[in-house]
Amino acid sequence: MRILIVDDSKVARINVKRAIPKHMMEINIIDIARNGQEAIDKFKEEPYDLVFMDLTMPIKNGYEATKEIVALGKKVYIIIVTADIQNNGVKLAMESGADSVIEKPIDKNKLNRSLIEFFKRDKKE
Amino acid sequence: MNEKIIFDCDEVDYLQELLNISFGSSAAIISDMLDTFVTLHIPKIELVHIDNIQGYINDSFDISQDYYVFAQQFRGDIEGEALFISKFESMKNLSNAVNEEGVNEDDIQGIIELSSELLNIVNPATIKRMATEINKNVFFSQPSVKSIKSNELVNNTNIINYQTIIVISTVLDFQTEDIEGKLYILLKENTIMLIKQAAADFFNLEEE
Repeated sequence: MRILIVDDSKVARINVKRAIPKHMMEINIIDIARNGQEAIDKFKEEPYDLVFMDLTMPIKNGYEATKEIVALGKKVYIIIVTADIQNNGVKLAMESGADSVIEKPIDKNKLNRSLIEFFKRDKKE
Repeated sequence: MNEKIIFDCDEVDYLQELLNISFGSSAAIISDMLDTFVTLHIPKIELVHIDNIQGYINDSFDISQDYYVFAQQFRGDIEGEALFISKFESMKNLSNAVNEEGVNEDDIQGIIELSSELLNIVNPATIKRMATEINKNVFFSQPSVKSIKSNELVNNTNIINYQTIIVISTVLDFQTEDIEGKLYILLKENTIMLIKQAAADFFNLEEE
């Protein structure tokens, strides 16, 4: 399984890595991207199964990057990880094609719930 | 102490993320209060030593304009003062956002009172969230608002009492109104050292 963490902040990327359950870390390839465009470029090179996407980033934001990745038509589960927790922001994130939204700082229980959904869907397909 | 406090890249990144989370939380409060959507922009963070602050202010502000300075001190585990500095136009837009019926442009006191209502929530929410993230407590004093020319900002505020000023420039981009302001977070040296320590603890836990 391939995982991509997209955030312009090193601190935020480390926080996502720390929140991912240990057993997942051991069996997965985890890459990073520092903005939405870099994420799209990396995804085009070789798709990822799971993407953790920030929203507010330079060059290309998370909404646009999510839309473009989803439009590529590959099987992917996108979890938005954002400090922007306004109701409308969450709605926009889901409309861009994301599968779930979790807020910063990451609550591990909420992340686990998103990961369970990801594994359920992965199994079905 | 005249020694310059320097933040390295990791410490700036730590502070930036801390403030992103804090601003996100404030934006959610504004959004709920005003039933509007606030687009979050990446806040620009600069650390300015007191020796360079006048030059920085001269470069940042229009010398011919009056600015409104909303100041609020905070104490507790972290200590300092938050200054939200903006032009009258932005204060007016802020008041319009608070009052759906619109504001009378000549009613300066009314505009100040309305915009203060919101800033009295936004500034403490931002600082409180920042403190909570590093497991610290903070309390706020009564805010004050005054109109100051940019070349008098240093002498007419408490800026002079601080060694290092963290300047956060951001735009509160409302659905209908643009509100531009600079948030100066003035931190006492012990608070800056606490933030540096929190960053060190974070990175020591595990390297990326």
